[in-house]
Amino acid sequence: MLPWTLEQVVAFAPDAASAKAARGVARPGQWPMLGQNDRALWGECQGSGSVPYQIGIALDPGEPVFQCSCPSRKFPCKHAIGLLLLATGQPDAVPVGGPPAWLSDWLVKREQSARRKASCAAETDVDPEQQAKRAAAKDRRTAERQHKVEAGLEELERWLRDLVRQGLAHAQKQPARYWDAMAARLVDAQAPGLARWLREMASIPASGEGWSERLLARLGLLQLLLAGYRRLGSLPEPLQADIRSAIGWTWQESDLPAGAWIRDRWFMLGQRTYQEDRLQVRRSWLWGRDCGRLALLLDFAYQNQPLPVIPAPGVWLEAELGFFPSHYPLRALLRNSTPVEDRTMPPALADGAAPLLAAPLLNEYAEALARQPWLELWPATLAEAVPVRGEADIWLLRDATAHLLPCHPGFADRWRLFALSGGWPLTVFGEWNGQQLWPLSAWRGDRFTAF
Amino acid sequence: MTWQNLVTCALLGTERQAPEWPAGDDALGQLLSRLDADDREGALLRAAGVMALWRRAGHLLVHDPRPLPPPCEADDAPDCGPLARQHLALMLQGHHAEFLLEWLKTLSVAGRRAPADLLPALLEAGAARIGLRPALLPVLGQRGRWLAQQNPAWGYAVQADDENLWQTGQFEERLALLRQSRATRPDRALELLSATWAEERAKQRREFIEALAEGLSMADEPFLEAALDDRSIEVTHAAAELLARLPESRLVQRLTARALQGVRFQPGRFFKHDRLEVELPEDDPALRRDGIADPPSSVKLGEKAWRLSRMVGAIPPALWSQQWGRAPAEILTVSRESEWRPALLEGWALATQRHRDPDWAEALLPLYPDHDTLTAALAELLPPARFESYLLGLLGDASTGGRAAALVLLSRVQRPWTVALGRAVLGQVRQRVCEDKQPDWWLSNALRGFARWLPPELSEEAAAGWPTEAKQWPQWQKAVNDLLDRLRFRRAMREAIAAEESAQSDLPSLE
Repeated sequence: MLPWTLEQVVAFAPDAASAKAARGVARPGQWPMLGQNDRALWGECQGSGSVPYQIGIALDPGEPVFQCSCPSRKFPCKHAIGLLLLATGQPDAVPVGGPPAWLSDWLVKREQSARRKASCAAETDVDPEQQAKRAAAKDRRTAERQHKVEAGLEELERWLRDLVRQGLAHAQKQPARYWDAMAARLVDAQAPGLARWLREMASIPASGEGWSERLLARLGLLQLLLAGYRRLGSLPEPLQADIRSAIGWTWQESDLPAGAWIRDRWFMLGQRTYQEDRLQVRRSWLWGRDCGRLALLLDFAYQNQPLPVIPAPGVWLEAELGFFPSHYPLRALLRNSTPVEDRTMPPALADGAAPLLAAPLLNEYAEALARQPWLELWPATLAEAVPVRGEADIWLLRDATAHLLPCHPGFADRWRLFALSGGWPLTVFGEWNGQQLWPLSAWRGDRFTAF
Repeated sequence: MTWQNLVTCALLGTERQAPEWPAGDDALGQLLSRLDADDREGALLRAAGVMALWRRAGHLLVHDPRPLPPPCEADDAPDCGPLARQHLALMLQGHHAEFLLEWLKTLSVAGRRAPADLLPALLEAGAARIGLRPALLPVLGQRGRWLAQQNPAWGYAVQADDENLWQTGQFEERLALLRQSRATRPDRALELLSATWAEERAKQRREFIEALAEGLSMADEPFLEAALDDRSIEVTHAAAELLARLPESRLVQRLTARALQGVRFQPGRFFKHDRLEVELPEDDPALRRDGIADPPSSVKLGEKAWRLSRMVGAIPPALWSQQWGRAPAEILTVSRESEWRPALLEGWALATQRHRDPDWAEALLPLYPDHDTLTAALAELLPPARFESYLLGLLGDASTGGRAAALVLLSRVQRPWTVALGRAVLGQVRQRVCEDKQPDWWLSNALRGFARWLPPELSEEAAAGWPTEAKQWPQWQKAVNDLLDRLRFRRAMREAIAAEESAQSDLPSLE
């Protein structure tokens, strides 16, 4: 039994056209040959040419790896998605058996190259000379970047001062390139985090009532970040890491110390995918059964590129998560993950186990902000919440003491949430931005629904 | 000095106004007191950052002490399981959406309801397609009805207060309301319509009357009989059309009395054949009142002959068989000798459809082997067994014409097929592929539609035995795959519902 639902498989497609084409291919009639075992799926699909395409899907723990002999530039192509759709929707149509020779060849090659990579890594680890060379090169790169970033930050600070000297009303009248140009200079200065911050601010002057307050708040927080960077050395190390993260340093798997990794059984609590400029961003929240921690996985993909494949909300994973250093660690990297056949809800998230009232929940948030002031979205779970409809189509979550937590106006699945509740309390998990909650999942008992 | 002052200062710019920030002994005041007032820009930005965080951390919750609206009552029927839910989700996304109606009906027969989180999308689909509503309402459950009460766009799913909508709604809404209540509570619909009848405009009166076709019964007869005296000729015609479908209506009684006089049967004696004597009806006000006035310009019959056809068309055809002691086929044979046969045939065909007479339909079918609309309309009236044997007969016909006619007919008739008929049709299509002809475009189109009527249990069998070596096969392949795909989906969706149903009944009882 494959761990994905049809809807999730469709989401693997790089774009809507591919998804539609894949549905067209997901019919047993198109496949003169089909098969599966516990490690792979395969098939031959009749395309427009005379020779059928050969499609293989390796069922690696955590994510499928696609391979197809068709010439399509899309990846994964419609045949690969189609095969996965077919196997998910009509498992009986794909007989269990031994793989054909071409598939075995591919699987063997993959294993060999994986082994080569592993042994390569092992070898370099032992060679002290190589290691020293690498470390020196890395230090040089770090120093160069440091230098560039500092220059960029100085320019940004001048720019910010000009902005408030002339006034926000003046800034509101500026064309888009006023913001874009500064953002572009920050990209050049290798501070992509700040560049995103600028682009996000660019949309505020046209965002309607309250824009000046929202813009000033963002400008102020940005100033605090710059001030923090200036006296970085005097700050505790985790907070230094937070400031560097906000500016745009990222951590690779290899950068994280061994102690950062936690092996646990993780529950996928919620996901949200959205477009940010030409970038697709996916935020996934996981909760660890034994460690009791929440973790955020961030994935990015350019335009039509597919996001890495990960299990959908409601699935348990055996995996290691490596947390980025932070004063309030949330962001993490995932490795060695295997979905687990388990449909129960995490006991600590069961009805009534999460904070029952909105007020203590927000106190927790205030504490989190005190630790990490640049925390943008905070994972919030509210138990015993009843969705209610306020004025002007604003939806709210009402706690047991009749206090209201507003939902984000962009949350489109409000009627679904409302239908799930039926006017009865349920537990809602979502992202709190300081003013509004964006629900990502809701449950009562062990009936879990993701949005 | 508050946050608002700081915002105002920032709007104007520090070159016009110096920033100020709260002073005080509290933590915020102490923190802000360390700002350097001479560095206007730096101080403004830092104060903004500190106060923004302070405000964010101190978000004040709104308290609403009003009682909550009543929640939904618990449902007694179980909702459908995860696989059936996935099928519904796909259909609501537009994939295989043509089977949504069948899914709803199957679910309703199984005594289950639609899953809560898909109810909004389902109610949305019903708002757009009135035809879905009768099948949709039974699977909504308490939750769905409760939900529909909260959104005016889904008001159709709520029984209450149809009166208000009927009194104040737009014409389209009112028509939709009327059609829908005819499907479930025809008497209530008539009650609503009667109450406002005098104020409705002529064009709308006609459309309202036409909506009464659904759920038509003798309970509507007095209302329709009165509508025969309407000022608008369109309204009277619409009323006459409906009355002609009610065998016990006064209109049918009146026309029967006249028709029995106008068309008489003379049994044959000795060497004389049976024969029909026809006296054509003259124009008169009583006939006009019953909807038989002037023939439309498209009619090929003469004026009097047309009147005859309309008169015969209103009378239950079984009456002739009883009256004359002859089977429908025999009467049709006798009519060959009559110079008014075209008018009589037209009348009988019309009456057969209006009164849904299977015996007459069977007798008439051979006379209209490939009529545009009539063939399918008559075939729809046959009971399943006779429908099957009629079509099997055609499909087994030696002439290709007969077989082709059968396929055309099947592409037009909206009714499920038996296993035997399904097999015969698939055999026939396979044979067509073998014959190496250019594929008929209409048949490859029709194949997709066949998926709706073929029994889903044939889906395995239907996949086998295609002449994949035939020269024309590539031309057919896509249409055949489409057919098989649809059939498999139907089977999967029915099995998913049935499996859950049996899983439910396998549970040990609590007693």
